[in-house]
Amino acid sequence: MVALDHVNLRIEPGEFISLIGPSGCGKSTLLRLIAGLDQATEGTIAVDGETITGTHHTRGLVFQDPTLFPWKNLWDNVASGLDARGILKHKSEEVSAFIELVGLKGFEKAYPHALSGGMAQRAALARALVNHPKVLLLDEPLGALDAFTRMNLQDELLRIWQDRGTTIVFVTHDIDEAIYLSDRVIVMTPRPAQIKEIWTIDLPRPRARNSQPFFRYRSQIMESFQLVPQGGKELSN
Amino acid sequence: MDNAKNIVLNKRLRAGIFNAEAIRLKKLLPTLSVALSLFLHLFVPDQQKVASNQVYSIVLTIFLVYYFIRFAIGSVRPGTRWDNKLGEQAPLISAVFLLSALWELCTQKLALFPMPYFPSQVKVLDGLINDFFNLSISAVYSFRLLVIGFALGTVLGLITGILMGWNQRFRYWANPVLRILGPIPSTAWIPIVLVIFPTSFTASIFLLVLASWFPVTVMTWTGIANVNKSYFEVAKTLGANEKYLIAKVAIPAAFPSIFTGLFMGTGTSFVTLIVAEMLGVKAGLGFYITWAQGWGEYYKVYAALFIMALLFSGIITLLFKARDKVLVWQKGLIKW
Repeated sequence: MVALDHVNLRIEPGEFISLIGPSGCGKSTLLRLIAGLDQATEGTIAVDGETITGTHHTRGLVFQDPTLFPWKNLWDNVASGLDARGILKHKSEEVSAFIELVGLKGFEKAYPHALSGGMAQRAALARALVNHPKVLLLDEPLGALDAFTRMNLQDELLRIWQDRGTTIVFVTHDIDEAIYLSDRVIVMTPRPAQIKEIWTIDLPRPRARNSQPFFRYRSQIMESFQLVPQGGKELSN
Repeated sequence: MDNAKNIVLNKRLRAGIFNAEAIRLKKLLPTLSVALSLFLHLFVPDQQKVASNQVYSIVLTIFLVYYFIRFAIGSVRPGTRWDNKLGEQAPLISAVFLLSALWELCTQKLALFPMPYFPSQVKVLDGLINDFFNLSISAVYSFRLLVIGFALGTVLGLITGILMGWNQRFRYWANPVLRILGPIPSTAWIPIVLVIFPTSFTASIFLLVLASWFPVTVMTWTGIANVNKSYFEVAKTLGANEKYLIAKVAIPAAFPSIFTGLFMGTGTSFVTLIVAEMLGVKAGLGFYITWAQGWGEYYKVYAALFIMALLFSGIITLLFKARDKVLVWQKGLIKW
Protein backbone atom coordinates (compact mmCIF):
# COMPACT_ATOMS: atom_id res chain seq x y z
CA MET A 1 0.00 0.00 0.00
CA VAL A 2 1.50 3.29 -1.07
CA ALA A 3 0.60 6.04 1.35
CA LEU A 4 2.83 8.78 0.00
CA ASP A 5 4.07 9.36 -3.51
CA HIS A 6 6.55 11.92 -4.80
CA VAL A 7 6.36 14.22 -1.83
CA ASN A 8 9.00 16.92 -2.09
CA LEU A 9 8.91 19.58 0.52
CA ARG A 10 11.35 22.00 2.02
CA ILE A 11 10.46 23.37 5.41
CA GLU A 12 12.27 26.47 6.62
CA PRO A 13 13.57 26.80 10.18
CA GLY A 14 10.99 28.35 12.49
CA GLU A 15 8.22 27.87 9.95
CA PHE A 16 4.67 26.90 10.86
CA ILE A 17 3.41 24.46 8.24
CA SER A 18 0.02 22.79 8.03
CA LEU A 19 -0.77 19.63 6.11
CA ILE A 20 -4.40 19.29 5.16
CA GLY A 21 -6.17 16.71 3.08
CA PRO A 22 -8.96 14.15 3.17
CA SER A 23 -8.81 11.76 6.13
CA GLY A 24 -6.69 8.70 5.57
CA CYS A 25 -4.71 10.42 2.82
CA GLY A 26 -1.33 9.86 4.42
CA LYS A 27 -0.76 13.11 6.30
CA SER A 28 -0.10 11.18 9.48
CA THR A 29 2.24 8.84 7.63
CA LEU A 30 4.32 11.80 6.54
CA LEU A 31 4.43 13.01 10.13
CA ARG A 32 5.44 9.58 11.41
CA LEU A 33 8.21 9.47 8.80
CA ILE A 34 9.56 12.81 9.99
CA ALA A 35 9.29 11.63 13.59
CA GLY A 36 11.26 8.53 12.68
CA LEU A 37 8.56 6.09 13.82
CA ASP A 38 8.18 4.67 10.30
CA GLN A 39 10.80 4.23 7.57
CA ALA A 40 10.28 5.44 4.02
CA THR A 41 10.47 2.71 1.36
CA GLU A 42 11.96 5.16 -1.12
CA GLY A 43 13.53 8.58 -0.76
CA THR A 44 14.83 10.30 2.32
CA ILE A 45 13.90 12.90 4.85
CA ALA A 46 16.64 15.06 6.26
CA VAL A 47 16.68 17.54 9.12
CA ASP A 48 19.57 20.03 9.00
CA GLY A 49 21.15 17.86 6.33
CA GLU A 50 21.02 14.72 8.45
CA THR A 51 18.95 11.82 7.14
CA ILE A 52 16.34 10.56 9.61
CA THR A 53 16.87 6.92 10.59
CA GLY A 54 14.90 6.76 13.82
CA THR A 55 13.29 8.76 16.56
CA HIS A 56 15.18 11.57 18.23
CA HIS A 57 14.28 13.82 21.11
CA THR A 58 14.80 16.89 18.91
CA ARG A 59 11.70 15.88 16.96
CA GLY A 60 8.73 15.94 19.33
CA LEU A 61 5.37 14.42 18.46
CA VAL A 62 1.88 15.08 19.84
CA PHE A 63 -1.00 12.82 18.78
CA GLN A 64 -4.69 13.60 18.57
CA ASP A 65 -5.10 11.44 21.66
CA PRO A 66 -2.94 13.02 24.40
CA THR A 67 -1.53 9.55 25.31
CA LEU A 68 -0.35 10.77 28.68
CA PHE A 69 1.10 7.92 30.71
CA PRO A 70 -1.84 7.10 33.03
CA TRP A 71 0.45 5.81 35.79
CA LYS A 72 2.30 9.12 36.10
CA ASN A 73 0.93 12.35 37.50
CA LEU A 74 1.05 15.47 35.37
CA TRP A 75 4.47 16.61 36.58
CA ASP A 76 6.05 13.21 35.99
CA ASN A 77 4.40 13.01 32.58
CA VAL A 78 5.88 16.32 31.49
CA ALA A 79 9.21 15.28 33.00
CA SER A 80 9.27 12.02 30.96
CA GLY A 81 11.49 13.36 28.19
CA LEU A 82 14.16 14.61 30.57
CA ASP A 83 13.85 11.45 32.65
CA ALA A 84 14.28 9.23 29.58
CA ARG A 85 17.41 11.14 28.61
CA GLY A 86 18.74 10.95 32.17
CA ILE A 87 19.05 14.71 32.63
CA LEU A 88 16.02 15.29 34.86
CA LYS A 89 18.13 15.99 37.93
CA HIS A 90 19.76 19.12 36.54
CA LYS A 91 16.71 20.41 34.72
CA SER A 92 13.75 19.70 36.98
CA GLU A 93 12.86 23.39 37.25
CA GLU A 94 12.23 23.38 33.49
CA VAL A 95 9.39 20.90 33.97
CA SER A 96 7.57 23.34 36.23
CA ALA A 97 8.32 26.17 33.80
CA PHE A 98 6.69 24.33 30.89
CA ILE A 99 3.71 23.32 33.02
CA GLU A 100 3.26 27.00 33.77
CA LEU A 101 3.74 27.89 30.10
CA VAL A 102 0.77 25.74 29.06
CA GLY A 103 -1.30 27.07 31.95
CA LEU A 104 -1.49 23.97 34.13
CA LYS A 105 0.21 25.31 37.24
CA GLY A 106 -1.46 23.82 40.31
CA PHE A 107 -2.35 20.53 38.60
CA GLU A 108 1.11 18.95 38.92
CA LYS A 109 -0.08 16.16 41.21
CA ALA A 110 -3.20 15.29 39.17
CA TYR A 111 -3.35 11.94 37.37
CA PRO A 112 -4.39 11.93 33.69
CA HIS A 113 -7.81 10.37 34.33
CA ALA A 114 -8.71 13.47 36.34
CA LEU A 115 -7.81 15.92 33.54
CA SER A 116 -10.20 17.27 30.92
CA GLY A 117 -9.44 16.71 27.22
CA GLY A 118 -8.03 20.21 26.80
CA MET A 119 -5.88 20.00 29.91
CA ALA A 120 -4.54 16.61 28.88
CA GLN A 121 -3.61 17.96 25.45
CA ARG A 122 -1.83 20.96 27.02
CA ALA A 123 0.09 18.52 29.19
CA ALA A 124 1.02 16.47 26.12
CA LEU A 125 2.25 19.65 24.47
CA ALA A 126 4.34 20.55 27.51
CA ARG A 127 5.74 17.03 27.55
CA ALA A 128 6.91 17.43 23.93
CA LEU A 129 8.24 20.97 24.51
CA VAL A 130 10.34 20.12 27.55
CA ASN A 131 12.93 18.51 25.26
CA HIS A 132 13.34 21.81 23.34
CA PRO A 133 12.57 20.10 20.03
CA LYS A 134 13.86 21.71 16.83
CA VAL A 135 10.80 20.31 15.07
CA LEU A 136 7.41 19.89 16.71
CA LEU A 137 5.12 17.46 14.91
CA LEU A 138 1.45 17.81 15.77
CA ASP A 139 -0.96 15.17 14.47
CA GLU A 140 -4.45 16.70 14.71
CA PRO A 141 -3.70 17.65 18.31
CA LEU A 142 -6.87 19.72 18.68
CA GLY A 143 -9.14 17.40 16.68
CA ALA A 144 -10.94 15.90 19.66
CA LEU A 145 -11.58 19.16 21.51
CA ASP A 146 -14.68 21.34 21.59
CA ALA A 147 -14.70 24.56 19.55
CA PHE A 148 -13.94 26.94 22.44
CA THR A 149 -11.09 24.94 23.92
CA ARG A 150 -9.81 24.50 20.43
CA MET A 151 -9.60 28.19 19.54
CA ASN A 152 -8.11 28.86 22.92
CA LEU A 153 -5.37 26.30 22.36
CA GLN A 154 -4.73 27.55 18.83
CA ASP A 155 -3.83 30.93 20.30
CA GLU A 156 -1.66 29.37 22.95
CA LEU A 157 0.09 27.27 20.35
CA LEU A 158 0.88 30.40 18.35
CA ARG A 159 2.12 32.15 21.47
CA ILE A 160 4.43 29.25 22.32
CA TRP A 161 5.63 28.99 18.73
CA GLN A 162 6.44 32.71 18.53
CA ASP A 163 8.06 32.51 21.93
CA ARG A 164 10.31 29.53 21.20
CA GLY A 165 10.86 29.72 17.44
CA THR A 166 10.28 25.98 17.00
CA THR A 167 9.54 24.67 13.53
CA ILE A 168 6.03 23.22 13.58
CA VAL A 169 4.47 20.70 11.21
CA PHE A 170 0.77 20.58 11.93
CA VAL A 171 -1.62 17.98 10.54
CA THR A 172 -5.27 18.92 10.50
CA HIS A 173 -8.40 18.51 8.40
CA ASP A 174 -9.80 21.83 9.51
CA ILE A 175 -9.19 24.43 6.79
CA ASP A 176 -9.87 27.40 9.10
CA GLU A 177 -7.42 26.09 11.66
CA ALA A 178 -4.75 25.68 8.99
CA ILE A 179 -5.22 29.23 7.66
CA TYR A 180 -5.38 30.73 11.14
CA LEU A 181 -2.14 29.13 12.29
CA SER A 182 0.23 28.58 9.41
CA ASP A 183 2.81 30.32 7.31
CA ARG A 184 2.15 27.80 4.58
CA VAL A 185 -0.72 25.36 4.03
CA ILE A 186 0.12 22.18 2.13
CA VAL A 187 -2.91 20.64 0.45
CA MET A 188 -2.58 16.89 -0.13
CA THR A 189 -4.42 14.65 -2.60
CA PRO A 190 -6.20 11.43 -1.57
CA ARG A 191 -4.14 8.27 -1.17
CA PRO A 192 -1.47 7.84 -2.37
CA ALA A 193 -0.92 11.36 -1.08
CA GLN A 194 0.87 13.86 -3.25
CA ILE A 195 1.28 17.54 -2.71
CA LYS A 196 -1.49 19.20 -4.64
CA GLU A 197 -1.07 22.85 -3.78
CA ILE A 198 0.96 24.98 -1.46
CA TRP A 199 -0.65 28.14 -0.14
CA THR A 200 1.44 30.82 1.48
CA ILE A 201 -0.80 32.58 3.97
CA ASP A 202 0.30 36.16 3.72
CA LEU A 203 -1.65 37.62 6.61
CA PRO A 204 -0.27 39.42 9.65
CA ARG A 205 -0.85 37.80 13.06
CA PRO A 206 -3.06 37.86 15.05
CA ARG A 207 -5.37 36.88 12.22
CA ALA A 208 -9.04 37.72 12.27
CA ARG A 209 -11.04 34.59 11.52
CA ASN A 210 -13.85 36.73 10.09
CA SER A 211 -11.83 39.02 7.80
CA GLN A 212 -12.26 39.18 4.03
CA PRO A 213 -8.75 37.93 3.15
CA PHE A 214 -9.22 35.03 5.55
CA PHE A 215 -12.46 34.09 3.80
CA ARG A 216 -10.77 34.36 0.44
CA TYR A 217 -8.04 31.88 1.38
CA ARG A 218 -10.70 29.65 2.77
CA SER A 219 -12.87 29.59 -0.31
CA GLN A 220 -9.85 29.12 -2.57
CA ILE A 221 -8.66 26.11 -0.57
CA MET A 222 -12.19 24.74 -0.42
CA GLU A 223 -12.40 25.04 -4.16
CA SER A 224 -9.28 22.99 -4.58
CA PHE A 225 -11.04 20.25 -2.59
CA GLN A 226 -14.12 20.78 -4.78
CA LEU A 227 -16.11 21.57 -1.67
CA VAL A 228 -17.77 24.63 -3.25
CA PRO A 229 -20.26 24.11 -6.09
CA GLN A 230 -18.75 25.05 -9.48
CA GLY A 231 -19.88 28.49 -10.57
CA GLY A 232 -20.94 29.36 -7.03
CA LYS A 233 -20.73 33.05 -6.25
CA GLU A 234 -17.45 34.19 -4.76
CA LEU A 235 -17.19 36.91 -2.19
CA SER A 236 -16.21 40.18 -3.75
CA ASN A 237 -14.34 43.00 -2.12
CA MET B 1 -53.06 26.29 52.69
CA ASP B 2 -51.15 27.37 55.74
CA ASN B 3 -52.46 24.44 57.71
CA ALA B 4 -51.46 21.96 55.07
CA LYS B 5 -47.93 23.32 55.00
CA ASN B 6 -47.63 22.98 58.76
CA ILE B 7 -48.64 19.36 58.68
CA VAL B 8 -46.05 18.49 56.08
CA LEU B 9 -43.37 20.21 58.10
CA ASN B 10 -44.36 18.38 61.27
CA LYS B 11 -44.25 15.00 59.61
CA ARG B 12 -40.75 15.63 58.31
CA LEU B 13 -39.54 16.78 61.66
CA ARG B 14 -40.90 13.70 63.37
CA ALA B 15 -39.49 11.42 60.71
CA GLY B 16 -36.11 13.06 61.27
CA ILE B 17 -36.20 12.48 64.99
CA PHE B 18 -37.35 8.92 64.50
CA ASN B 19 -34.43 8.29 62.08
CA ALA B 20 -31.88 9.64 64.54
CA GLU B 21 -33.26 7.37 67.23
CA ALA B 22 -33.24 4.37 64.91
CA ILE B 23 -29.59 4.99 64.03
CA ARG B 24 -28.70 5.37 67.69
CA LEU B 25 -30.48 2.10 68.45
CA LYS B 26 -28.66 0.44 65.56
CA LYS B 27 -25.34 1.37 67.12
CA LEU B 28 -26.41 -0.34 70.32
CA LEU B 29 -27.08 -3.60 68.45
CA PRO B 30 -23.53 -5.02 68.75
CA THR B 31 -23.57 -4.45 72.52
CA LEU B 32 -26.97 -6.12 72.80
CA SER B 33 -26.02 -9.16 70.75
CA VAL B 34 -22.75 -9.66 72.65
CA ALA B 35 -24.74 -9.37 75.88
CA LEU B 36 -27.17 -12.01 74.64
CA SER B 37 -24.29 -14.33 73.66
CA LEU B 38 -22.72 -13.88 77.08
CA PHE B 39 -26.02 -14.49 78.83
CA LEU B 40 -26.66 -17.73 76.91
CA HIS B 41 -23.08 -18.84 77.45
CA LEU B 42 -23.25 -18.28 81.22
CA PHE B 43 -26.74 -19.45 82.07
CA VAL B 44 -27.69 -22.28 79.71
CA PRO B 45 -26.27 -25.52 81.14
CA ASP B 46 -23.59 -27.38 79.12
CA GLN B 47 -24.19 -30.83 77.59
CA GLN B 48 -20.56 -31.16 76.52
CA LYS B 49 -17.45 -30.75 78.61
CA VAL B 50 -15.09 -27.90 77.71
CA ALA B 51 -12.16 -26.36 79.56
CA SER B 52 -12.21 -22.77 78.30
CA ASN B 53 -15.65 -21.58 79.48
CA GLN B 54 -14.09 -18.91 81.66
CA VAL B 55 -11.74 -17.67 78.95
CA TYR B 56 -14.63 -17.47 76.52
CA SER B 57 -16.64 -15.46 79.07
CA ILE B 58 -13.72 -13.07 79.45
CA VAL B 59 -13.42 -12.69 75.68
CA LEU B 60 -17.13 -11.92 75.38
CA THR B 61 -16.97 -9.50 78.30
CA ILE B 62 -14.11 -7.62 76.64
CA PHE B 63 -16.19 -7.32 73.46
CA LEU B 64 -19.19 -6.23 75.52
CA VAL B 65 -17.26 -3.47 77.26
CA TYR B 66 -15.58 -2.45 73.98
CA TYR B 67 -18.79 -2.06 71.99
CA PHE B 68 -20.58 -0.41 74.88
CA ILE B 69 -17.81 2.19 75.24
CA ARG B 70 -17.91 2.88 71.51
CA PHE B 71 -21.67 3.27 71.71
CA ALA B 72 -21.40 5.56 74.75
CA ILE B 73 -18.72 7.78 73.21
CA GLY B 74 -20.80 7.97 70.03
CA SER B 75 -23.81 9.05 72.07
CA VAL B 76 -21.88 11.87 73.67
CA ARG B 77 -20.05 12.94 70.50
CA PRO B 78 -22.01 11.68 67.50
CA GLY B 79 -20.92 12.05 63.88
CA THR B 80 -17.23 11.27 64.27
CA ARG B 81 -15.71 8.86 61.75
CA TRP B 82 -15.29 6.26 64.49
CA ASP B 83 -18.98 6.62 65.36
CA ASN B 84 -20.21 6.43 61.74
CA LYS B 85 -18.13 3.33 61.18
CA LEU B 86 -19.86 1.65 64.13
CA GLY B 87 -23.23 2.42 62.56
CA GLU B 88 -22.04 0.97 59.26
CA GLN B 89 -20.65 -2.22 60.81
CA ALA B 90 -23.35 -2.71 63.46
CA PRO B 91 -25.59 -5.14 61.53
CA LEU B 92 -22.62 -7.26 60.47
CA ILE B 93 -21.05 -7.44 63.95
CA SER B 94 -24.40 -8.23 65.52
CA ALA B 95 -25.10 -10.98 63.02
CA VAL B 96 -21.68 -12.54 63.70
CA PHE B 97 -22.28 -12.66 67.49
CA LEU B 98 -25.86 -13.91 67.12
CA LEU B 99 -24.79 -16.70 64.76
CA SER B 100 -21.98 -17.59 67.10
CA ALA B 101 -24.46 -17.77 70.01
CA LEU B 102 -26.71 -19.97 67.89
CA TRP B 103 -23.77 -22.28 67.13
CA GLU B 104 -22.90 -22.57 70.79
CA LEU B 105 -26.53 -23.43 71.58
CA CYS B 106 -26.66 -26.12 68.89
CA THR B 107 -23.37 -27.73 69.93
CA GLN B 108 -22.23 -27.28 73.50
CA LYS B 109 -25.56 -26.44 75.08
CA LEU B 110 -27.99 -28.79 73.32
CA ALA B 111 -25.57 -31.31 71.67
CA LEU B 112 -27.60 -31.43 68.44
CA PHE B 113 -24.63 -32.37 66.23
CA PRO B 114 -22.41 -35.44 66.53
CA MET B 115 -19.08 -35.02 68.25
CA PRO B 116 -16.14 -34.78 67.66
CA TYR B 117 -16.83 -33.34 64.20
CA PHE B 118 -18.80 -30.27 65.29
CA PRO B 119 -17.12 -28.72 68.32
CA SER B 120 -18.40 -25.47 69.82
CA GLN B 121 -16.24 -22.37 69.48
CA VAL B 122 -15.36 -22.75 73.15
CA LYS B 123 -13.94 -26.19 72.41
CA VAL B 124 -11.94 -24.71 69.53
CA LEU B 125 -10.66 -22.15 72.00
CA ASP B 126 -9.52 -25.12 74.10
CA GLY B 127 -7.45 -26.24 71.16
CA LEU B 128 -6.00 -22.78 70.58
CA ILE B 129 -4.97 -22.45 74.23
CA ASN B 130 -3.77 -25.99 74.98
CA ASP B 131 -1.86 -26.43 71.78
CA PHE B 132 -0.77 -22.84 71.38
CA PHE B 133 2.91 -23.76 71.12
CA ASN B 134 2.48 -26.38 68.39
CA LEU B 135 0.06 -24.20 66.47
CA SER B 136 2.36 -21.19 66.46
CA ILE B 137 5.36 -23.31 65.44
CA SER B 138 3.26 -24.75 62.61
CA ALA B 139 2.09 -21.30 61.54
CA VAL B 140 5.66 -20.01 61.52
CA TYR B 141 6.82 -22.98 59.42
CA SER B 142 4.01 -22.52 56.91
CA PHE B 143 4.60 -18.80 56.74
CA ARG B 144 8.32 -19.24 56.13
CA LEU B 145 7.74 -21.72 53.31
CA LEU B 146 5.08 -19.55 51.77
CA VAL B 147 7.10 -16.34 51.84
CA ILE B 148 10.27 -17.86 50.41
CA GLY B 149 8.45 -19.93 47.78
CA PHE B 150 6.07 -17.22 46.69
CA ALA B 151 8.76 -14.54 46.58
CA LEU B 152 11.06 -16.71 44.45
CA GLY B 153 8.21 -17.78 42.18
CA THR B 154 7.08 -14.18 41.74
CA VAL B 155 10.54 -12.91 40.87
CA LEU B 156 11.04 -15.74 38.36
CA GLY B 157 7.53 -15.19 36.98
CA LEU B 158 8.15 -11.48 36.52
CA ILE B 159 11.43 -12.12 34.72
CA THR B 160 9.93 -14.79 32.44
CA GLY B 161 6.82 -12.72 31.78
CA ILE B 162 8.76 -9.57 30.92
CA LEU B 163 11.13 -11.47 28.64
CA MET B 164 8.20 -13.19 26.92
CA GLY B 165 6.40 -9.90 26.44
CA TRP B 166 9.49 -8.18 25.08
CA ASN B 167 11.74 -10.66 23.32
CA GLN B 168 10.49 -12.51 20.26
CA ARG B 169 13.12 -15.26 20.44
CA PHE B 170 12.64 -15.87 24.15
CA ARG B 171 8.89 -16.12 23.60
CA TYR B 172 9.44 -18.67 20.83
CA TRP B 173 11.36 -21.02 23.15
CA ALA B 174 9.55 -20.34 26.42
CA ASN B 175 6.00 -20.51 25.10
CA PRO B 176 5.82 -24.34 24.69
CA VAL B 177 7.36 -24.88 28.12
CA LEU B 178 4.82 -22.54 29.66
CA ARG B 179 1.93 -24.11 27.78
CA ILE B 180 2.80 -27.72 28.58
CA LEU B 181 4.18 -27.48 32.12
CA GLY B 182 2.26 -24.44 33.39
CA PRO B 183 -1.25 -25.89 33.56
CA ILE B 184 -0.18 -28.97 35.57
CA PRO B 185 -1.30 -28.30 39.14
CA SER B 186 1.91 -28.09 41.12
CA THR B 187 0.41 -30.48 43.69
CA ALA B 188 0.54 -33.19 41.04
CA TRP B 189 4.34 -33.02 41.19
CA ILE B 190 4.40 -33.86 44.91
CA PRO B 191 5.16 -37.60 44.63
CA ILE B 192 8.10 -36.98 42.28
CA VAL B 193 9.42 -33.83 43.90
CA LEU B 194 9.45 -35.28 47.42
CA VAL B 195 11.68 -38.09 46.18
CA ILE B 196 13.99 -36.07 43.97
CA PHE B 197 14.81 -33.21 46.34
CA PRO B 198 17.22 -33.79 49.23
CA THR B 199 14.94 -32.28 51.90
CA SER B 200 11.21 -31.80 52.16
CA PHE B 201 11.93 -28.09 52.72
CA THR B 202 13.60 -27.60 49.33
CA ALA B 203 10.94 -29.81 47.75
CA SER B 204 8.13 -27.60 49.03
CA ILE B 205 9.97 -24.45 48.02
CA PHE B 206 10.19 -25.86 44.51
CA LEU B 207 6.46 -26.68 44.50
CA LEU B 208 5.53 -23.19 45.69
CA VAL B 209 7.80 -21.58 43.10
CA LEU B 210 6.08 -23.67 40.44
CA ALA B 211 2.65 -22.73 41.78
CA SER B 212 3.20 -18.97 41.75
CA TRP B 213 5.51 -18.83 38.71
CA PHE B 214 2.90 -19.86 36.16
CA PRO B 215 0.11 -17.32 36.86
CA VAL B 216 2.58 -14.48 37.44
CA THR B 217 4.37 -15.26 34.17
CA VAL B 218 1.17 -15.47 32.12
CA MET B 219 -0.34 -12.29 33.53
CA THR B 220 2.91 -10.29 33.25
CA TRP B 221 3.32 -11.42 29.65
CA THR B 222 -0.33 -10.56 28.86
CA GLY B 223 0.02 -7.20 30.55
CA ILE B 224 3.11 -6.25 28.58
CA ALA B 225 1.74 -7.57 25.28
CA ASN B 226 -1.41 -5.47 25.72
CA VAL B 227 0.30 -2.15 26.40
CA ASN B 228 -1.02 0.55 24.07
CA LYS B 229 1.62 0.92 21.33
CA SER B 230 1.25 4.71 21.35
CA TYR B 231 2.87 4.84 24.80
CA PHE B 232 6.02 3.31 23.32
CA GLU B 233 5.91 5.65 20.31
CA VAL B 234 5.51 8.74 22.48
CA ALA B 235 8.30 7.57 24.77
CA LYS B 236 10.57 6.96 21.75
CA THR B 237 10.01 10.46 20.36
CA LEU B 238 10.84 11.77 23.84
CA GLY B 239 14.24 10.11 23.60
CA ALA B 240 13.65 6.86 25.50
CA ASN B 241 16.03 3.93 25.01
CA GLU B 242 15.00 0.27 25.28
CA LYS B 243 15.78 0.09 28.99
CA TYR B 244 13.48 3.02 29.67
CA LEU B 245 10.75 1.52 27.47
CA ILE B 246 10.79 -1.69 29.53
CA ALA B 247 11.28 -0.30 33.02
CA LYS B 248 9.33 2.94 32.82
CA VAL B 249 6.67 2.21 30.20
CA ALA B 250 5.98 -1.51 29.71
CA ILE B 251 6.15 -2.60 33.35
CA PRO B 252 4.11 0.20 34.94
CA ALA B 253 1.53 -0.09 32.16
CA ALA B 254 1.31 -3.84 32.86
CA PHE B 255 0.97 -3.44 36.64
CA PRO B 256 -2.82 -3.98 36.79
CA SER B 257 -2.40 -7.29 34.97
CA ILE B 258 0.69 -8.21 37.01
CA PHE B 259 -1.29 -7.77 40.23
CA THR B 260 -4.00 -10.08 38.91
CA GLY B 261 -1.21 -12.63 38.41
CA LEU B 262 0.05 -12.07 41.95
CA PHE B 263 -3.43 -12.66 43.39
CA MET B 264 -3.81 -15.84 41.35
CA GLY B 265 -0.32 -16.85 42.46
CA THR B 266 -1.11 -16.45 46.16
CA GLY B 267 -4.23 -18.58 45.70
CA THR B 268 -2.38 -21.45 44.05
CA SER B 269 0.45 -21.08 46.60
CA PHE B 270 -1.96 -21.50 49.54
CA VAL B 271 -3.38 -24.67 48.03
CA THR B 272 0.03 -26.11 47.19
CA LEU B 273 1.46 -25.24 50.60
CA ILE B 274 -1.28 -26.97 52.57
CA VAL B 275 -1.46 -30.03 50.32
CA ALA B 276 2.33 -30.40 50.35
CA GLU B 277 2.35 -30.23 54.14
CA MET B 278 -0.48 -32.73 54.38
CA LEU B 279 1.24 -35.22 52.09
CA GLY B 280 4.89 -35.16 52.97
CA VAL B 281 6.31 -32.20 54.82
CA LYS B 282 6.59 -32.90 58.53
CA ALA B 283 5.75 -29.39 59.75
CA GLY B 284 3.34 -26.56 59.15
CA LEU B 285 -0.40 -26.04 59.46
CA GLY B 286 -1.25 -28.64 56.80
CA PHE B 287 0.77 -31.23 58.68
CA TYR B 288 -0.83 -30.16 61.96
CA ILE B 289 -4.31 -30.69 60.50
CA THR B 290 -3.60 -34.26 59.34
CA TRP B 291 -1.91 -34.97 62.64
CA ALA B 292 -4.88 -33.70 64.71
CA GLN B 293 -7.26 -35.57 62.46
CA GLY B 294 -5.25 -38.74 63.08
CA TRP B 295 -5.95 -38.39 66.79
CA GLY B 296 -9.61 -37.57 66.15
CA GLU B 297 -9.12 -34.15 67.71
CA TYR B 298 -11.27 -32.21 65.30
CA TYR B 299 -11.44 -29.14 67.52
CA LYS B 300 -7.70 -28.74 66.89
CA VAL B 301 -8.37 -29.00 63.17
CA TYR B 302 -10.75 -26.09 63.52
CA ALA B 303 -8.19 -24.20 65.59
CA ALA B 304 -5.64 -24.68 62.80
CA LEU B 305 -8.20 -23.55 60.21
CA PHE B 306 -8.79 -20.43 62.28
CA ILE B 307 -5.06 -19.62 62.36
CA MET B 308 -4.86 -20.33 58.63
CA ALA B 309 -7.72 -17.92 57.94
CA LEU B 310 -5.95 -15.18 59.90
CA LEU B 311 -2.63 -15.84 58.17
CA PHE B 312 -3.89 -16.08 54.58
CA SER B 313 -6.39 -13.27 54.91
CA GLY B 314 -3.60 -11.13 56.35
CA ILE B 315 -1.38 -11.89 53.35
CA ILE B 316 -4.16 -11.08 50.88
CA THR B 317 -4.89 -7.84 52.74
CA LEU B 318 -1.22 -6.86 52.54
CA LEU B 319 -1.24 -7.55 48.81
CA PHE B 320 -4.35 -5.42 48.36
CA LYS B 321 -2.72 -2.61 50.31
CA ALA B 322 0.36 -2.82 48.10
CA ARG B 323 -1.82 -2.78 45.00
CA ASP B 324 -3.77 0.28 46.19
CA LYS B 325 -0.46 2.05 46.71
CA VAL B 326 1.04 1.09 43.36
CA LEU B 327 -2.13 1.59 41.33
CA VAL B 328 -3.32 4.89 42.83
CA TRP B 329 -3.58 6.16 39.27
CA GLN B 330 -6.32 3.68 38.39
CA LYS B 331 -9.96 4.61 38.67
CA GLY B 332 -12.58 2.36 40.24
CA LEU B 333 -10.43 0.01 42.30
CA ILE B 334 -12.40 -2.20 44.68
CA LYS B 335 -11.55 -1.51 48.28
CA TRP B 336 -10.57 -4.52 50.39
